[in-house]
Amino acid sequence: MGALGAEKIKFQLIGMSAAVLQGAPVATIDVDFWLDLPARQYMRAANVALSLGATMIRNTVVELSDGTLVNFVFEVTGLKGFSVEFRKARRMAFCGMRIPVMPLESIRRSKAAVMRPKDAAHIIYIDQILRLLRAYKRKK
Amino acid sequence: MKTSLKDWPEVFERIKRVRGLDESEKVLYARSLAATPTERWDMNETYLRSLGLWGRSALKKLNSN
Repeated sequence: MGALGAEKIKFQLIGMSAAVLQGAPVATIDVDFWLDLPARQYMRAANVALSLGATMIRNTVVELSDGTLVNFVFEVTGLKGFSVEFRKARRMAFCGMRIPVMPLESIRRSKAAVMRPKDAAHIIYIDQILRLLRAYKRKK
Repeated sequence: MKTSLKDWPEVFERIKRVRGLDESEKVLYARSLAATPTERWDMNETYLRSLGLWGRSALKKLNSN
């Protein structure tokens, strides 16, 4: 992530890895980074990862040396552009850094737009977390 | 939330009257909500590693796309 920053590639953590960081009790095998790059420049991000010892699995998927799978995303269905969503991102600790993380509400919107079978299940968890966070704050 | 995993009983107290979830689900959510982002990710990784689902082998095992 630091290397992406050094290459001046803006990114934000999205998908269920972002939901996990915000309290969704689910498991996810990969980390999705939305990059502020056109898709045709996917090799710029891949090269950053490869220079750190990652292995390329697919055009947009790399495995880091600790086994973490990273998926580079260039467009997200159901949401506005990168810059608009980036402004809403929350800064959270992840792997020793503070990085921009997409809020649960935006993750939910993108999942509702795609609606694969797994997205329907994820939306249930996201809705529960949002509901419980509201209940928690009311009780404070 | 300025809590960590060890504070989950306190979070549970605050959500225990929420409807639509049984007690075990509330414990699950209380642990997840109480944890710090780092603890949440560690739980995710530890759980997947315990099932042998970490790294590229997980893609094959889960036939993920």
